[in-house]
Amino acid sequence: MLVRDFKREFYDVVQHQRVLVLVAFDVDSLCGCKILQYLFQCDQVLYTIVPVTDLQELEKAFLENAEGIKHVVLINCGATVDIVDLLQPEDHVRFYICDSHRPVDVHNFYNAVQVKLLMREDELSTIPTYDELFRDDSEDSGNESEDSDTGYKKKKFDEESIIRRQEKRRWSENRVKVLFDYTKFTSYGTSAALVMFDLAWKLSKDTNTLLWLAIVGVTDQYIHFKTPRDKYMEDILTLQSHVSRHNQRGGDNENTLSINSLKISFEEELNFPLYRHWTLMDTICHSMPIACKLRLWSLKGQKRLHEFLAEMGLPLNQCRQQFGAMDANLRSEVKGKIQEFMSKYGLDIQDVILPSFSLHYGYKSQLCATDYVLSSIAVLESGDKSRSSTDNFLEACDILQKGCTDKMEAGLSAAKLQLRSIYTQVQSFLEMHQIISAGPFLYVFVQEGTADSSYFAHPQCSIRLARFALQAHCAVSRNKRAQSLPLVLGAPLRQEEGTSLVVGIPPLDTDDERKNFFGKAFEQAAEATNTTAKFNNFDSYIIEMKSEDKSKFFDALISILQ
Amino acid sequence: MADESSSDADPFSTASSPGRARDPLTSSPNRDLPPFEDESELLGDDDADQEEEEEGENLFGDDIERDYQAIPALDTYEDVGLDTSEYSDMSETQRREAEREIRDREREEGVRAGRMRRGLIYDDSDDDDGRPARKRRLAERAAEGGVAEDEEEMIESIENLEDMKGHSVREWVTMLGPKTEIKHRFKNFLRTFVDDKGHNVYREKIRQMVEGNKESLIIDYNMFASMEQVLAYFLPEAPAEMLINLDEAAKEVVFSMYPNYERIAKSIHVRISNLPLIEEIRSLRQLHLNQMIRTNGVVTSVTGVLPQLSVIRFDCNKCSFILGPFYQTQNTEIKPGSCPECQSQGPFEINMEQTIYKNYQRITIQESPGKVPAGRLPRSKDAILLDDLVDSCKPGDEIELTGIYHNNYDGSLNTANGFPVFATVIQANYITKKDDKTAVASLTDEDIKAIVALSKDERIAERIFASMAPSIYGHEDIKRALGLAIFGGEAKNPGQKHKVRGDINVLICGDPGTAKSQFLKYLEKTAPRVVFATGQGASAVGLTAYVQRNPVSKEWTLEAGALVLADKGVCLIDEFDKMNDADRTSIHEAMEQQSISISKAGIVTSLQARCTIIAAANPIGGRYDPSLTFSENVNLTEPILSRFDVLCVVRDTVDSVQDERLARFVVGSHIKHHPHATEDQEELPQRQLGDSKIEPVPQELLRKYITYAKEKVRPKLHQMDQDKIAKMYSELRRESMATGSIPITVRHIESMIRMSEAHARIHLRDYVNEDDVNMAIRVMLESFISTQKFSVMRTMRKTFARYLSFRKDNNELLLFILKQLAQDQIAFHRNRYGTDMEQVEISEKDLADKARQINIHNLTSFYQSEIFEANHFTHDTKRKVIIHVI
Repeated sequence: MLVRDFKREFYDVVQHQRVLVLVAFDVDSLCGCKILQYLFQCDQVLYTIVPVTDLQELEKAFLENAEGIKHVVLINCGATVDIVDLLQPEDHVRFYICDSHRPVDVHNFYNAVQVKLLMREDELSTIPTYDELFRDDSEDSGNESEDSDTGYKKKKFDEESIIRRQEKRRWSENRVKVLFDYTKFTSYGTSAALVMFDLAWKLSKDTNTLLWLAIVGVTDQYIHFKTPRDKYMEDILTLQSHVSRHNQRGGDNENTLSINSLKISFEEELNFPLYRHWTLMDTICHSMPIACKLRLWSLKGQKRLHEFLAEMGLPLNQCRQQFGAMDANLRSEVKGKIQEFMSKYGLDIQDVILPSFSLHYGYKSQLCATDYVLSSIAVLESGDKSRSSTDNFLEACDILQKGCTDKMEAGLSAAKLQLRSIYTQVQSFLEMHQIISAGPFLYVFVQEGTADSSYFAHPQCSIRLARFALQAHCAVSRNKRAQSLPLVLGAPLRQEEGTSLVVGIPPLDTDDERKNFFGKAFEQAAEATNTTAKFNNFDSYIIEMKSEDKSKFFDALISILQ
Repeated sequence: MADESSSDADPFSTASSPGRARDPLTSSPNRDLPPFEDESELLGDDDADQEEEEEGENLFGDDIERDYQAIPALDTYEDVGLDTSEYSDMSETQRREAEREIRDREREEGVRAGRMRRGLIYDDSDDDDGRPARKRRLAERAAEGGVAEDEEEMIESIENLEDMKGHSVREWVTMLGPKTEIKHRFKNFLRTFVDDKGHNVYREKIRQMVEGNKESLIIDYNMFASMEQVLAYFLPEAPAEMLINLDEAAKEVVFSMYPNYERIAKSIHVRISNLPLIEEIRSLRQLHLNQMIRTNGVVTSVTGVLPQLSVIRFDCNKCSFILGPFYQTQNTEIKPGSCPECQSQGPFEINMEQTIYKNYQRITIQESPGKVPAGRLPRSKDAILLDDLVDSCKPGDEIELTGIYHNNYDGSLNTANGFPVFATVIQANYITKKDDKTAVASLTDEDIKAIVALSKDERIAERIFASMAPSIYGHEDIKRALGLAIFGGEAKNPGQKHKVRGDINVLICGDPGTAKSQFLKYLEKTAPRVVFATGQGASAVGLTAYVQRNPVSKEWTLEAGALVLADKGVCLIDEFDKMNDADRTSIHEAMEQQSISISKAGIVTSLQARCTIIAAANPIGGRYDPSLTFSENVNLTEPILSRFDVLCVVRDTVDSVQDERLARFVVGSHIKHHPHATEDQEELPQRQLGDSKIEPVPQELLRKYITYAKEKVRPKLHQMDQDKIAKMYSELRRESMATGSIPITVRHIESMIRMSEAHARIHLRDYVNEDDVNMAIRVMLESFISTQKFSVMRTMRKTFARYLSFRKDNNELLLFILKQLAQDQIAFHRNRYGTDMEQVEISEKDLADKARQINIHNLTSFYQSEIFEANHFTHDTKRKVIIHVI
């Protein structure tokens, strides 16, 4: 059931009770969780936070911690499955789901007692009506409207059983169709962090720190290609009003705020990853749109980049220095110069400029939202085998904590490594011509034993890799259809078990919607071939399967998508 | 094309213009011009009149009418240069316009033809009124400070720049008018020059320069000359002044293309490449002073980079006024006279903040070792590198230098000679390094095709070995060793920590008169980058490197020795045994570590010496004593012996058959190589060689083949037969301990690997295969066995027989066996039946069995060989017998 008044129906209820918080493994949920944590700490609510990577772990975590718990908050997980059916909880347990994954499972939506959805109402308008989905012959209890309906039908049953059966068949056919239409595409709604921030705002407990977390959450969705640019801009606008509310200096000229307080400002940021902490050269090379448009992986592309830099009047040796160490004049001019000359090199404003927020804190250098996202995701999905996922989770939490600069530094360098490995992987894909067209889609496999393959065993990183590979392929390919082809990427997951991760991403020309149909397609392909694929991930378009089943699975996938 | 068409049209235009000019007189102004045909008739009359006049005939007379008769044969014009297209009627103004155009074109043509005389004539006639005005304007412009320069130069230009009005080139190009014209033309050249394929060359070059954040723009002199002859003529005459102009023009062009580039590079330098004339350092004379020259040599020393004053500002000590800026020239020091503010005469101090410096470096180049004429000392010359040329070469590099040959006053030289002489220096403008890459780049596509085709020959290795020193008979083992050494193995550098040598060092030791030095001399001409030294003439420092005090900067500099100069090449040392022990030990490091470490006079460094060393030595007492081991025979220590990969012993043995052949070969060779030898005589030695069917590779192609293989092929070890080498090594060590001839060390495993790589490289293979390893083992073993005492040599040959037989010509051996089998058959037949038979049949199997005993498995090549047929054997494949007809 959708919760309309978060405060009354959710927050007031869970207050003074023990709460179990289950958090998915991405930056958005991390931010949402941190906002909630802050609220709970304010009101001295007892809570347990358990990070979960997939559905299996969700189940396990629930079983382990369910004892004596009445309220379970799920952040960015569980909305797409029938949570009651999955976890088999006792009747008094209530689930509060704050999840950006769409479509929401219909059972969750229509379960009025145990499941409460913390979502925006307008985003759930596509959900099929109750009548289309549920109809119970034996039981008359239910909605008022349906009550009379079924009662009416029951009378007719004795007389025209055949018609009734026919009608039932038609209804069930319709139900399948409606459900299929509903679940065909996976997409994303408003970020969990933003929803949580709304809650905090309604409780009048919103601070700059929480606002920053919400910004990071929204940015995460955009950076991992979950929301289209329109949606991102919309959220940014909402956030901007909050930002200006929190960060105004008052009428007097005197700066009353201490330098140690957090300041957020809206800025047209350069869309270069980590550019404040990297060299300009590196950051341009690792920026996806520019790298693809200039084809920076080739020697020719590098030359073009050099020409571009020279045209802007940026000396190469300056560009190879840390951005912070660049000549102050040049540094301040970079953004303007890039905008001045980008059209000559076929770059759009969208490739270069990203409206975003940046954070000033003390005398430390400025940090922008993307820096936060990239460094925390790099820590969250670090390839280090010796550390458990919970360790990574806590580490990433620390990064989001303000004033934790050394952790932030470590996170940034981890993010650089991750970006670099993505870039080199894409480069090797293109050089070895590993991106292959299978007709209705493109596919590419990360070879086992590749140096950085451990990075790509994580969902978020593999999404970024897939997206980069697809864009790069489209930039190189002469095929005009390349723009409209989706891409499936396979990456080795656990070598000893011989499993691999398969990710499907939608084609580039549907970028305005960012709807992904691979969830359903994978499901059907697995069914058709009887492969034991695991649909464990919260994102349905990421599955896990045995490496040896790959060819069989792909054959089925081709026939389904044709 | 444009030129031609205009000149085609020329005669016509000059012929027709007087005719037209007359028209208005004969016709009334308001009447339309007569059609074209009429006019031509009129002209025709003109011609006729002239003819008559020449003849001196009376114009008036009876046959006056005859002049006007039509003579069809004469009245037509020749087609050449006749514009047959229809002309529309013109108005008065149009015609005047056209006439002016024609006049302009003529004048322009005079310019383009590049003939000075013609230009002069036109000047006198036409532009007399134009000149003073222009001069005045120029003066005005100079007064204004050249503000409106750009607009004006678009309108006005000096058409005949080559007319210098009595000035010298140097003066002329510094004058404002010609200067702007030069700049304008050069800019135009940069913007519009298009090569055969239609690429805008310099736009591309500027782009490349900008990409690399460089400040040198390389101009090809030939292209420049093809478009702007006049400038190209000025350039070598007054290079310093011209280059300033060109630099400025290039700067304007680059900055107009990339407005923001100014922030990256302050100025652009024009570099002139491909200057047609190359002068040797030896041949630089007074004539070349202040001219642009191109020369080549080896860099022997390089000073540190010093800051040189570029734009100077002075502080006045009295009123602290800042004087300047003064632009420093290359040869004089600038001193301000007096302060314009307080009129004080100084002293002035250089203002440290506002003075601009540039980089300055001095290098010394010496004639390349190969180019010094016999019996002369190599000469050297100092060169100055400025700005971004600094550090573009290092000692040991062979460079080609384009620059300005300057003289400057040198006090010390004067005191030494007692009268005014000048020291000369080259101010570098452009430097190219002659490294292997350029050598490979110089190979044409046909060459590469020929090389690749050659490498497909499966006997290429034998052919190359055979073409080593083709005028020397025999010594296959030495030729093989030298062939491998020239190609060389692959240097490795595990973890960038220490290098493993890839070069193969060879020591040839033997009796006098066995062509050892000839081999070295041959290599000197064939291999790339060779330095030749003899044992007596080389000292330790001469071979490695020596420290010298630079007379200019008074600092210690390092001068490269022979081994350093031969970096990435070959160092040949003759009379190796005659060297002092102390000198010889100095090359220990170079031979194995491939570097030379110096620590003297406060310089601690190591220089690269990645060279192959090929040395020749005589045994003790002049003759090699076969009853002694190698180390007893030569006066060389163990450490140095073990550093040689291959030791070749040449013995002058008496063998009547061989000697006869040798004598024939030598005679044949002398006949063949006589300067006046004719074609048919050349065949002679070839026929006499007889036994070797291998056709040698032409020397020219061989040299290209070597360059190509060394640069392009990087053979890798791939699934090498490790066991084989391991076993070989252990056996060799055991034997060497027992006999104590030469020490076998780990170095020898490496040298086997090197040799197999070299062998793979000969085949242009990327991977080392079985054949390569076998060949390396064979060469290794032969080298080892030849160093043994005569007594053990034979037994050792037997123990290692299976390695040694690789790739040897087996046919003679097989023939011998076959003959034996035939003989047996005949003997058997005669004894059994008492009659002689006419033909003998030998079963194939018998021969194969015998062959297998001596490790020969494949007989097919033998059956097809000439030697087989020549001895009246035929092979019947169906019956599997060999038939011998007696």
